[in-house]
Amino acid sequence: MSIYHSVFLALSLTALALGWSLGGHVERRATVAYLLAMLASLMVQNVETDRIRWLLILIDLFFVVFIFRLALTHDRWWLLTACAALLLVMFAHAALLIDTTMSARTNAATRWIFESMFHLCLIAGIGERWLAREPAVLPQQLSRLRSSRA
Amino acid sequence: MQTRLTPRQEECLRLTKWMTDREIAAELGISEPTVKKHVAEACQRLGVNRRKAALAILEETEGETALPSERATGQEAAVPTVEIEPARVPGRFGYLPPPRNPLIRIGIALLLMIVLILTATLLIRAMAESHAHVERIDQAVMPDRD
Repeated sequence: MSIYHSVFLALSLTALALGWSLGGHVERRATVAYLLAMLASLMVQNVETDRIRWLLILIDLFFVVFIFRLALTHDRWWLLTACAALLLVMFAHAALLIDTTMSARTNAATRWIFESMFHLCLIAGIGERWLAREPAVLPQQLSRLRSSRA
Repeated sequence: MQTRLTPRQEECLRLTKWMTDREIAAELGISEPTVKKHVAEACQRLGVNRRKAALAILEETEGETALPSERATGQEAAVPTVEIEPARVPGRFGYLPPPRNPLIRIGIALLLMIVLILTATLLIRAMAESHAHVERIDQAVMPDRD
């Protein structure tokens, strides 16, 4: 595993863990959607037709649409930035479709850069949740669980 | 019909003027359904269907000793039933959420996209220059490396 791969994986896992444990409802939805998209991408990453990974593009497209919908319905700046980053991921896919000379390595590197930006946005979302004076969901759920057991 | 509001119901109803249900829930440390329940019960006790109407009754009776429910029926027709967008409440350090207009949000997202492209381009260029610099140093120090 290359150093870039390790950094990307570490950043993904950190974003997922922080988003789930310290995020509000919006951050959690985005985290779950990202986790599902990531798992689905892992399953279809070797499926390709004429060096184009159509299923991967489709999964990314669904994810962008979901985050875009969240950005329009919820009051969060980080969602708008995440939308921008994910749209750039889609542009990277489009570039591979248009430019046949582009190597798969360059394409993957470009997507990794913008997906890393999405991870950073998700982590920043926790800070925004705090700024917006919204409570994190997990501590509330845990305290409810404790009180129901007591 | 009950006439007097509980302090919690009154508090929730008053806050609906400035905040959304979610913001009230966060402010009071209760769940969003509980806020909805308090507001709905307040409306029921004031004899109106809409929270704006209940709020108008509450504000009108402020400082008066008369119970709000006594005027509820007459007031209901006069109060507009259009839902008004709640005002924004600043968060910590003067934080304000993004504008609610979807077109403005799309515009902001597109603007951010350009910013991200520029950032990524600068980052990649800086990395490439750094690599080239290291390569030049390597060539100078070890000319027979390749």
